[in-house]
Amino acid sequence: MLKIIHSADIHLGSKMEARLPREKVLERRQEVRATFGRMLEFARKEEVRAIILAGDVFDSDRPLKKDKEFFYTAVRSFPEIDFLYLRGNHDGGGAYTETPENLKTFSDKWQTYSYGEADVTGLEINPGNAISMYSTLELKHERLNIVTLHGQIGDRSGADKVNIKALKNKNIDYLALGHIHSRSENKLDDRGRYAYSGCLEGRGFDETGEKGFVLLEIDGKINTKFVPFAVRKIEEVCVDITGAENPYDAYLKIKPHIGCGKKDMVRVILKGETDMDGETLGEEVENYLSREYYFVSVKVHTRRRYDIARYEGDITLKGEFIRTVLECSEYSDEEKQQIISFGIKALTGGEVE
Amino acid sequence: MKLIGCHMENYGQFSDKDFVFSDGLSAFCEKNGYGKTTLASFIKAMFYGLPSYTSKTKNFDDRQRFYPFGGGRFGGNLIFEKDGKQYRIERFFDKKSNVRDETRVFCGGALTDEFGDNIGKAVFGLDEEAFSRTVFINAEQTENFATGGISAKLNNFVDDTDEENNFESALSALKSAKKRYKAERGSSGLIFEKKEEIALLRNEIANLSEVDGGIPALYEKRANLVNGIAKLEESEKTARAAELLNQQWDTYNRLSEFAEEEKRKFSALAAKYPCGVPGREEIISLNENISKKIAAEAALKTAAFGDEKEQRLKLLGARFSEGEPDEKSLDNMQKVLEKHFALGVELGGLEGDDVSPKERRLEEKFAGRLPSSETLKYYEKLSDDFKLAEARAKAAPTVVGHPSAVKLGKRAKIALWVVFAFAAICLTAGAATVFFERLAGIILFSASGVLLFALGFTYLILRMNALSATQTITVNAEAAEAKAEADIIEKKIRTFLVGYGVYSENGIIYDLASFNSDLDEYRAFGERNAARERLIGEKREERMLLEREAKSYLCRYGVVGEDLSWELNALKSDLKEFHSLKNEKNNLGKNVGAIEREAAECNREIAAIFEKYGVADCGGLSDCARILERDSAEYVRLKESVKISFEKAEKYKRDMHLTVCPEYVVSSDEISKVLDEKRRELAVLDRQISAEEEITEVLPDKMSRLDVVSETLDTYKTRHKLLEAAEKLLERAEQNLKDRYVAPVRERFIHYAQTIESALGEKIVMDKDFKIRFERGGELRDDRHFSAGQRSICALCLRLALIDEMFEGEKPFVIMDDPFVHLDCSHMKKTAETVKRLAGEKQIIYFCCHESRKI
Repeated sequence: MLKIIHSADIHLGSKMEARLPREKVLERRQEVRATFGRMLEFARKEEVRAIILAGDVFDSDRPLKKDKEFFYTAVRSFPEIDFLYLRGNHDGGGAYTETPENLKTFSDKWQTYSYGEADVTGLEINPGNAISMYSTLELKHERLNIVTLHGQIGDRSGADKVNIKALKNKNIDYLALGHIHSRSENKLDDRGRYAYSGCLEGRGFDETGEKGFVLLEIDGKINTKFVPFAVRKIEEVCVDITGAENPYDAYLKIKPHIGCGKKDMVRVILKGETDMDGETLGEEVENYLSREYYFVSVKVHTRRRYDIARYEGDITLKGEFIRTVLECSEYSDEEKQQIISFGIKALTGGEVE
Repeated sequence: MKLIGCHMENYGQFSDKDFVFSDGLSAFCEKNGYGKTTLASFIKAMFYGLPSYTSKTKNFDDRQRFYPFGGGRFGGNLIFEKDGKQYRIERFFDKKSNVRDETRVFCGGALTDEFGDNIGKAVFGLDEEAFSRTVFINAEQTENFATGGISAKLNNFVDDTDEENNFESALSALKSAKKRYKAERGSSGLIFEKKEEIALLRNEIANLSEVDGGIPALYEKRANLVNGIAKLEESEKTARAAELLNQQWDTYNRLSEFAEEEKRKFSALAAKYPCGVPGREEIISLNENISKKIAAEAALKTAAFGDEKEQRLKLLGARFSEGEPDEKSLDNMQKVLEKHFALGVELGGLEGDDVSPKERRLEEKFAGRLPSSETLKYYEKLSDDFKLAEARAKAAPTVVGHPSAVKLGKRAKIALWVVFAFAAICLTAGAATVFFERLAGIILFSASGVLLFALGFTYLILRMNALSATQTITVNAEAAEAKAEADIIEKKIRTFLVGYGVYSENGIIYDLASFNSDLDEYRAFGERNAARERLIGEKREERMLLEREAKSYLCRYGVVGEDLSWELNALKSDLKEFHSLKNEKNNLGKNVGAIEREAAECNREIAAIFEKYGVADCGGLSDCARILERDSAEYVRLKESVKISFEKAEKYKRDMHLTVCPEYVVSSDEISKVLDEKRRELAVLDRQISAEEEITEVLPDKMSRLDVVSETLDTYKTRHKLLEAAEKLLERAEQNLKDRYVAPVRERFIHYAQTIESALGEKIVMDKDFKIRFERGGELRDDRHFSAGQRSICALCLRLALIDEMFEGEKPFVIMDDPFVHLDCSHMKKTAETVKRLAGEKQIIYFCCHESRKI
């Protein structure tokens, strides 16, 4: 049985989540490399014949020398595996710097590599071929055809765009895509499917969920299996903490919503209404959670719970203050809420942050 | 609320003094020194206590001032009514510290802590200062403004906050929070910190971007360098190929040159020998002839018989002039001398035989004093007599115990001697057998030895038995006589034997037998020595005859010497030498002619070859022959070498496909040097790229960080702005609120003022702190422009207005401590009326010291 891995968006040398401490940034960069290395070990163990790298192996047009050294050393270290490397929008420039025998590259013209009963055909999209590429694609009906491209799927053609409509009925059995960092697979036409493998490792909270690659098992037909492979999962949860009296109370409300493990990264978005100060709340909840996960980020999107109507007839200084604020036209409603929050906290002896 | 009365236990000049206050106006008009101020102080002290003082306290405060002049318990009690309940405050003060003060409050006779520690504040809602400025009016405090306590009280009135968390504290909290973000002055606060961080990040980013911007140029340089290296590698490869070709051409040229050189040498050699070079056979023949010639010359040189040999031959000829000894006679003489030698050896053995120790002992014993036969017979007879006497002595005795012991001893002795003889024979036979059959001999010898040892042992046993048996004999008289005779005989024999040194414990019979045995043996020794002496004489005679014969023989050939064997050998040697020299001399004469002929033949042949090949004299035949031989061999070698060398060169050229000799190419070593340099440059560049990329690797993170910090800064700025807004709006709200309560106070102020002083007019402005300003000449003026009397009136009116507004329900009493000292009669009159009217609404305790101010 022929086995091929569909992988994309490795983004070697990429920047990481901005709020990660420096040492964790370095660690994560190392982990991205290590995960790629582990994928190659997996491929060797599974006797995979080729690995499709559907773009953005590097994060930059000008990859770091050490990332290139890493990549090309890895390629040379697995001579029994072909690396079908198609450049994406990030690594368009200086990615092809060495030419190991087992590195098969693509260009702005369709290029096909055959493995047994399957053909892997790919093209690097640019403004010059973004429209014509669909008419120049010719695939043999009797072959199992895997096509690889890098771009955003849609109904239009263009640079960094993959026009799904135009690829229908082209004898494609599996369209191996790169560019989108989340795994997805859908029907292309009666014959084929198109799929994003997603990235190997999530780098920030905009790359949540399981990350890994797709293993294609080809034996008369193409069977696909997503292999979750990332060292760490990234999760974002949104929790309504209305009713929480203090940060610990909020933490207790948040905890059941988090499904990831100790080595994962979590972002918690707090919603609902609370009297607690946002900044303090965020910091304290983050402190509680950070003991339990690799990295935690808390975003406070709660609203203050001031019943403005309650103070309307109040002749006290509090009432007078709230009325004064509300009558003031130079602040937005959100700002007025914050001003009232500050003032009331000051008048009730609370610490104003 | 009203005061009912008070009891001053000891306070200032008062001691055990009671005051009762009526509802409405209680006026005390007394002279100075009565204690009006003391009473006023006492009332205040009952509510608010007295301040502590120490030695460092500068002010002369009420605790010092009113400490009882006459001593005793410092304090008293005050009874007042509030909200329909009657309370009594008891306070006793320490001399210095309020910590040791005693305070108790009773309500309806029961102790209560309804008012806590600060009774005045609890009762009036005012702190001490506010109390002094409202319900306590005197002539000194005419400043018109609200204290914090008054404001707090007024605010509290309209607000439900407590005194601690009021406007002031809220404002302070907001300012403080604002300050955390941005200090009003200087450059501290979170906003500044973030700005600093942003500036720092921007600088870093600018720096990193600059470095980053330079990296493409490095990569370009690297690409050029890599291309350059590739070209150089190609050039190096080409140069190396050219160098290899050059080397092959060099090799070919060397081979060709060598062949040419060989050819040149061959030609030169061929020119030297126009008739060709001699063949191998000729060379061999030449060498043989030279060798023969040399040998012949050497033989001729040695053919001469030397003088030394001639002399020797003459000498030997003279010796053997009478005839040479023949072989037979020499052999005969040899045998004679051998026999002579053997006889000498035999004689040495006979003469050298040593005398045995026993023989020497016997010689010492008997030499020169052999006993005569008569003497021997005599002692034989004595011996027999002794035996008889002994026998007699033994025949008579009474034998007790073992009569057969003696007999048995005799038989045993005989048997022992028989066995002893047998054992001795066996021992001798064993010793002899050892020479023929070693094992059997040893066994026989050993067994005989053991038997002899056993016999000796048995003999000793029997002897001891015999002695013991002797001891059991009882001697009778006859026996004693026989014994005495035996003793005499024994003594004679013993004397004789002792003269020859014979004595033993075995008795005289044994000793005498032993003596006889020794004597016999001595005699046998003598006979044997005589026979040997005779033999030695015979041998000496024979040897001397032989010696004489030998000397006679040798003497014939002039040989004289003591060592006859050596002399005979010398004779033989000389004879042999004589024959040899004689033969040698004869042979030499025969060979010389033949040798000379052979030498001449060799010379001819050598000369013929030398002439044939034009060999000149070159220092010797051998040298010439060697040169000829060398040239011959070299000629053959060169001839072959020329052929092979040319073939080898051509073959190499064909094998290496050498067609055109290349032109000069750049040395590959030079290219390698440049290449090494370029590679080093590339390595350095790679390191530089790595280093710079390592530096710029953080650029994206820094930019992200800049975004985060900028976001945080915006947040801080917003928060600061909103805190500022909160502060401003809180002040505005407070002003609104004050405007709302100051207005009624102002109204009440004007109300009271108009009843007393119309001159103040209606244009009175009162700010939120109750500072009073009035309009005069179109300008707002400070109340300090008023007269002292007007200011007294203002103070009174403000306090009354404040009391009206501050105390919504039950109004407190008012204490007036002669506040109108600055009023003239007219104003005093109006004021008195006002006070009286007020006394209908609230209790007034009024003190004055002059009738003019009496109300």
